[in-house]
Amino acid sequence: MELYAKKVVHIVASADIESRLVKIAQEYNRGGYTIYPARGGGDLGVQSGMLDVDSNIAFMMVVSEKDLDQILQALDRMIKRGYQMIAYVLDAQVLRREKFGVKPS
Amino acid sequence: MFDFSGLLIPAVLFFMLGFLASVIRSDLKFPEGMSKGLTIYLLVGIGLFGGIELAKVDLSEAIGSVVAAIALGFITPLIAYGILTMVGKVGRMDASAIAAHYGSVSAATFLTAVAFLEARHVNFESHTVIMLAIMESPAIIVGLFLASMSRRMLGLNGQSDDKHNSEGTFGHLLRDAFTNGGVVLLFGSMLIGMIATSNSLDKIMPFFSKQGIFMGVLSLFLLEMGMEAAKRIHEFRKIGFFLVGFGMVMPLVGAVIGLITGHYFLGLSVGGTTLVAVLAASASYIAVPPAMRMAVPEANPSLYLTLAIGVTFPFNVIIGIPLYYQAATWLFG
Repeated sequence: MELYAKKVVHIVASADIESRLVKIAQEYNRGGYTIYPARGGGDLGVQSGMLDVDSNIAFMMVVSEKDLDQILQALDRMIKRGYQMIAYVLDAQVLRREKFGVKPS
Repeated sequence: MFDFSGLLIPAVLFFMLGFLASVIRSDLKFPEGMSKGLTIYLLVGIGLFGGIELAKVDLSEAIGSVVAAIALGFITPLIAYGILTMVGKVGRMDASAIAAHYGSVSAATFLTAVAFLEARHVNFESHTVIMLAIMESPAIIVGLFLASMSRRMLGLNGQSDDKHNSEGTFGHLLRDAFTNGGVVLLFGSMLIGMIATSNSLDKIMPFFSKQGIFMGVLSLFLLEMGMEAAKRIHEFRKIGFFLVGFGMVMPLVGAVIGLITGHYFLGLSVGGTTLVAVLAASASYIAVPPAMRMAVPEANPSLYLTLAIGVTFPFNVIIGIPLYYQAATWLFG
């Protein structure tokens, strides 16, 4: 089975800034993203997920190598403005390349 | 003298149980999403109650309360900002965000005060519910103003400098402040309570009224809030002695302003004056945190969340409410 190389951008942030992240996905990744509720703790205290104000999300999008830099720059601008998040990039192998904006050859 | 019988109501006792459960590291835990569901229920319940009561009174009587609520929402954050920056030398961005929380209100603290008054058979004016709904938002405007002023003083770039940040414009943030889910639920339920026919309301009120299951649900919610408060004790060392002290002194400052407003300006009863003091003393954990996280990202969220949920909420529930009630009775001689 043929697999295609992609990158997964994974972000953990407060649920309150979800709309910002969705906007980035819509602008640079043709709108594809997945969100799941998350909880945890760190430098900034406990995010127990019990109340709206202390709920985190894990935000994931599979992106092409060529779009990656623009997405990371958009995230970096947010971080420089003070928005708290953990962001990292993973290598992934995907099925169905056309799902990610590339037509099958 | 401090009257400890104020603590012997189920809502407060359940709060203490939740706190204790967390301190002794019990594995007690609410199911995912339950507290969020209870919050929706409580906001709808208090909104309906306020609406039904408001339908019975002449609205012109409530105008004074509306004006007082807006004034309190604007004044208390300015005082909080002054104390934080001048006395505590807290960073201006953190001070702006924290100040906004103290200008807004905590619905759960208000409801605990209602439970406290009802246990003593003390009546209160229904206008105070409309004050609760109104006071959620004005402090956000003050917080945004203080943050923008602080940014200029610190030479930081404003929101508008970021072309990728159209959601950060003042208008957009204001819209967020007034369309916050909690605010919409409170006002919406109040309107439904006002315009729905009394026969049709009778059908749903067993589910929402204080004669029905409302106070039981409040007790469950406070059980969770006790656990949430206790989880934040570990943060006290990080946020520092001054801020923990501020989380207990600021409610007292707010309560004094609230007592004066309720008694002298609005001419409310002992119950009504107590509730205005509680409103002015409490700190928001519904509408303000998301607004500040969006609009003042430079501020550290753990400071305002630890203060609102970990310090001020327990302080008000256990010490504040009986104290403000006592002070209100003194005002009435």
